[in-house]
Amino acid sequence: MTAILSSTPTAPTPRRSRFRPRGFVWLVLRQHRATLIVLLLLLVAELFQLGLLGFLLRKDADVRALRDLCAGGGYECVERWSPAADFRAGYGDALHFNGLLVQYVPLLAGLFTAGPMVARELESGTWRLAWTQSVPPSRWLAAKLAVPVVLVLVGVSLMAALYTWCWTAVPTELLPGQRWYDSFGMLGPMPVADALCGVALGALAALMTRRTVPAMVLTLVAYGTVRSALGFVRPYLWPRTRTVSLGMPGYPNDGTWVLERGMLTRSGERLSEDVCGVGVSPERCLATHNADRWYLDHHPPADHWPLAWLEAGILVALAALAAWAAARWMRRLVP
Amino acid sequence: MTDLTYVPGGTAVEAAGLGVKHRRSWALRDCSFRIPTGRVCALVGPNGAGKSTLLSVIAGLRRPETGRLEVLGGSAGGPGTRPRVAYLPQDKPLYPQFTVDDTLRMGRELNPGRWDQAAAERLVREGNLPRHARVGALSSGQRTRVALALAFGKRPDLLLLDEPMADLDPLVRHETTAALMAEAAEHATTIVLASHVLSELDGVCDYLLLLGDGRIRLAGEVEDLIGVHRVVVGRHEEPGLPRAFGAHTVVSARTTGRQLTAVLRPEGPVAGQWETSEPTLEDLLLAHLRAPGVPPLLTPSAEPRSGRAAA
Repeated sequence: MTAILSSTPTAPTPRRSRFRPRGFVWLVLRQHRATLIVLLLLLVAELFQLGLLGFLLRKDADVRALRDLCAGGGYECVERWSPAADFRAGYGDALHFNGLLVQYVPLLAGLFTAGPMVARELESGTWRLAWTQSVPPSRWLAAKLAVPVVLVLVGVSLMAALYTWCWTAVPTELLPGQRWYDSFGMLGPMPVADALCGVALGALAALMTRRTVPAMVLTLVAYGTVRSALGFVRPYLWPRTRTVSLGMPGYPNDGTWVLERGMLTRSGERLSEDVCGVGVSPERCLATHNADRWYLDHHPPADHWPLAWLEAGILVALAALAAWAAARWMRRLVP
Repeated sequence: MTDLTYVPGGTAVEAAGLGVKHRRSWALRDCSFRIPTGRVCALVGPNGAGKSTLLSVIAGLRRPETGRLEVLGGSAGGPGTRPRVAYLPQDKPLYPQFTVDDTLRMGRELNPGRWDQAAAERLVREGNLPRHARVGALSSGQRTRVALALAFGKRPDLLLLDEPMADLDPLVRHETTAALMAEAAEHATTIVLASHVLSELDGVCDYLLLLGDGRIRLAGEVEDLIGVHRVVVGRHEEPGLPRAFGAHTVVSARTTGRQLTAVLRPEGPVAGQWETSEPTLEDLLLAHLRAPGVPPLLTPSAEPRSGRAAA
């Protein structure tokens, strides 16, 4: 009897909105509903906080006329002017920790894709449920990639854009640890490209290991390897500038990324600073190595954006490669 | 029931030389058989015989290493086949954080154009399942019912069930079996049902696939397989088997005191004073499970149609 009584409500008529998630996308969103709601709230809070920070930074930098105060002044500007010191004390940490967040969110996105999204299904056995429905398993992988990719494109893009906006408000002389080459991974397109790479590597690692914890460890290792490898090649991605001078050049304070300083012999060979540098008299250098000029290899601040877009491009290409490999791996697993 | 739904010549599953490896050892080896459409086929074998492996290969969840497999006229797991095959693994995987309603919604989302919400809801309703309860909070019997509803809602032409009734109480098991058979008869669904509970199969299945050690031991209509075997009972005192058995295939023989009970595949009349009778399905299965060395037997309908699959 109860069976008959409770039978009154029939199938809820599906809403026919064009943007209603369907198929595996619906499944992935439903699977991680709670997490996604929390992430969304955190994102809103972070964006609000970044917006506020940027607004205050701009206001204070203007009011205190720090830009003019420190223009070309170098680090001493902080010692000389108390508003500059106040500014650094007030905003240095806020900018620093927000930057760390923007830098590490991509790794978290990769780990989340690897563990809870893909590998957990393979480990718990629900993949056999998902892969035996009418929609082919390749779409399962596509949805598992598409959902985090869209989240990253929206969330990380907004975070990176706002952070970059905050960062540009600061006179570079004021926060010496946050010059463009120090904050490289936090600025412009880098966090987004990084996150895409993390997501694709995570999916691939999860398919390969099929276990939650190993998948996350493998993602961490792969992502770390990619990041440090790119860190090594970064100075060579864009042609560097060399200035040659007779006297030993100082390290400029205008945001120039100094790569290498040393002496040049008359035949044009480079001598590193260990052989001929501070503590070695120029006469000896000239006598023993025939070196008479100094060179300074560097990237001027104008190189920042070409370098950033190039490296982001490499990361996106790597992400595409990893996603392709994951699709290939899928095809190996199921007919 | 099968007389009504039997489609002559229709092939649900056909395998030729099928081999599947688990790490280093073969889970299935050189399996050749055919299951016609419209049958309720029992897949029987001892633990580790390869039943689950065979089902997951048919479901298209893994590739066989050797041989050929054709499911409903296409490749296993192929785009034309996947929508027509439903698979219920032994541990009934479901998303534990989903409610019953969510789970049925998933069935609808992932089987566009096929999903039968009414059939799925009927099964859920008959089990008096709380529709807004999380699947993870249900008892294992209730979960089985949700999983079955998901499988039925897909309206499959081939339904693969791996030990489906293992965690149901006898009453529910009986009801569920009845529901299963009714659905199968109504829609001419071919069912392959793996089990080692032999009593669960009698009267339900009309086709049989016996696996032992990764190989096919028996395949064919239950009636025909029973028909070619005889239980022979009589007095026998000398050691060894009676000479009269020499012309026949002895599946198993046991002596209790002076009485010998044997299951034979007779090649003609058995000479001597013997009481012969038809074995029950359980007799037949037990005899073959006890005797791994007996040559396999496939009835004509279970032989793969050479040329297409055996090439």
